[in-house]
Amino acid sequence: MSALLELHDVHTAYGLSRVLFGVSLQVAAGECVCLLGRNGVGKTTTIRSIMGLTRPSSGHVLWKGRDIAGWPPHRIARAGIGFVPEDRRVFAELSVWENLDVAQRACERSGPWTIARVYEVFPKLQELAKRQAGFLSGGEQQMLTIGRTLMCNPELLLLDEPSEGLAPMVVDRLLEQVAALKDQGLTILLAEQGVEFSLRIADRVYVLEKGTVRHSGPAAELREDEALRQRLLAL
Amino acid sequence: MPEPSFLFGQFLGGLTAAMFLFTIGAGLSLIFGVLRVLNFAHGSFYMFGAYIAWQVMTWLGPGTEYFWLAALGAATGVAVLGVVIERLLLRHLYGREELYQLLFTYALVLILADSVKIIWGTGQLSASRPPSMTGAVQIFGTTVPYYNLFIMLLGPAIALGLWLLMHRTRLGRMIRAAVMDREMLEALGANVGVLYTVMFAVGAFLAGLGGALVTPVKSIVPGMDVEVIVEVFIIVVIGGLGSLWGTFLGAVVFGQVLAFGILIMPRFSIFAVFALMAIILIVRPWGLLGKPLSR
Repeated sequence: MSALLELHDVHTAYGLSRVLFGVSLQVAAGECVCLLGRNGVGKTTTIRSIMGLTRPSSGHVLWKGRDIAGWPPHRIARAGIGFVPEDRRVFAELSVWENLDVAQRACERSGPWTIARVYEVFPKLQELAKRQAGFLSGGEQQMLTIGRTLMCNPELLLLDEPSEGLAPMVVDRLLEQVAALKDQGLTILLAEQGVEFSLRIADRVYVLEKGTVRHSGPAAELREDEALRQRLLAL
Repeated sequence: MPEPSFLFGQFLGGLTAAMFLFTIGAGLSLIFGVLRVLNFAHGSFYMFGAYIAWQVMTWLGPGTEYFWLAALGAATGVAVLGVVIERLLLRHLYGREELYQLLFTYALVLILADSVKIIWGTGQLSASRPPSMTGAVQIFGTTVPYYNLFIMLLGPAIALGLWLLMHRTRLGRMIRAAVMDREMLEALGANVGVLYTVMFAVGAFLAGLGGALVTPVKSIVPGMDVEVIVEVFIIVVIGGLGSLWGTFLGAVVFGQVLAFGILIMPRFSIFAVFALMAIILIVRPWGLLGKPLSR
């Protein structure tokens, strides 16, 4: 199985504060892989390292076999990696439509995604098209930030803590939508603290601890083995 | 009490001065609003605009309609200079402390000022209005030169044009998105570095245009850079740095305070402007229409 994305011994630091100590992982095309672990173990930093937002100090990030570590983020986006950030980060003063339009213009990567298709997946966004993004609810903002990233026609979607701060019902709806994207062939790398959310959708998981991979395996294993789950993710 | 027509004339004089300053200040405010760089060398761009316009006019024929071509050419030349400076030098200073940016742009002021002296000498140069603008019109008993009228209309036209650019075009939306969250926009695939260069060029263009258009009414001398940068700083501080309409309002306030201050206390009118700026800095440091910095 050749990996779409492969991290090899990635070390990343913010200035003097080192966060990742040799993370290695693989994501194959069509998979949904989840990074699990408590707050501060390096999930977000792993995602940022892949996206080029924080440059790894050593190690390799291979995208379809090419080392993209050190590339600027816009080049990585145009290569087919879509980033959905923690805290959503919608352009608050722009309308929903403008957010999508900017993303379309930003990327210039051709593919099936159009604003109309994003509206099909998230009908609520069409109703709110003229609303300023800053005035949307958390769930609506989460839809917008995913839709915005889809405008770049990514092959791999990096989702950082998508369920954070959302009501359970909203999370259920979001889960269906993300699962639908996966069914359409999108590869997904998810970082989550919420075990519930991630185990319902992931094929495989990596459990991070103190900046390294502590455990990796099929999600089913963690779903079924309560004791293992407790041991790895005890809060 | 002076005659109303005299007061009206004074008002229009102030407005003309204001619109010159707005043209220049809009560029400074735009660059600050997007790039978060306070460009001390903006006045130097203005001075270069004036000298280049003079040079081109001298080549093409002074006192002819080539004036317009010279003005556009000068503004474009300054925009190109801006692009070179931004791409080669300034971009290495983004994200550093403001102090480095200030020192860098101040160094540019010195370098550009000396360049002007080397190229054009230290003497005073002058240009004349194009023939189509030499006439005047009577408004409420006041004689208003066509050229002043043109400048008074140009200011609002530039304001409107910039507003439309920012709010009604895709480029403008991209720029506003970059201001809100640069990193996010990059992660969406935008080459924000290019956007910054474009905005710096637009800002420099406006400074160059202001410098070129001022040549028929002011003499072209070394030192005009520092004179104008002080005035432009005052208007953007009054109006709010980074705010387009704030800069417009600041320019109008500046022009009127100066125009009427001269009537009331001739020697202290510039003092009145400084006092106004000081009061605004104390009471409302982000300016009349600006927003408090959230950094």
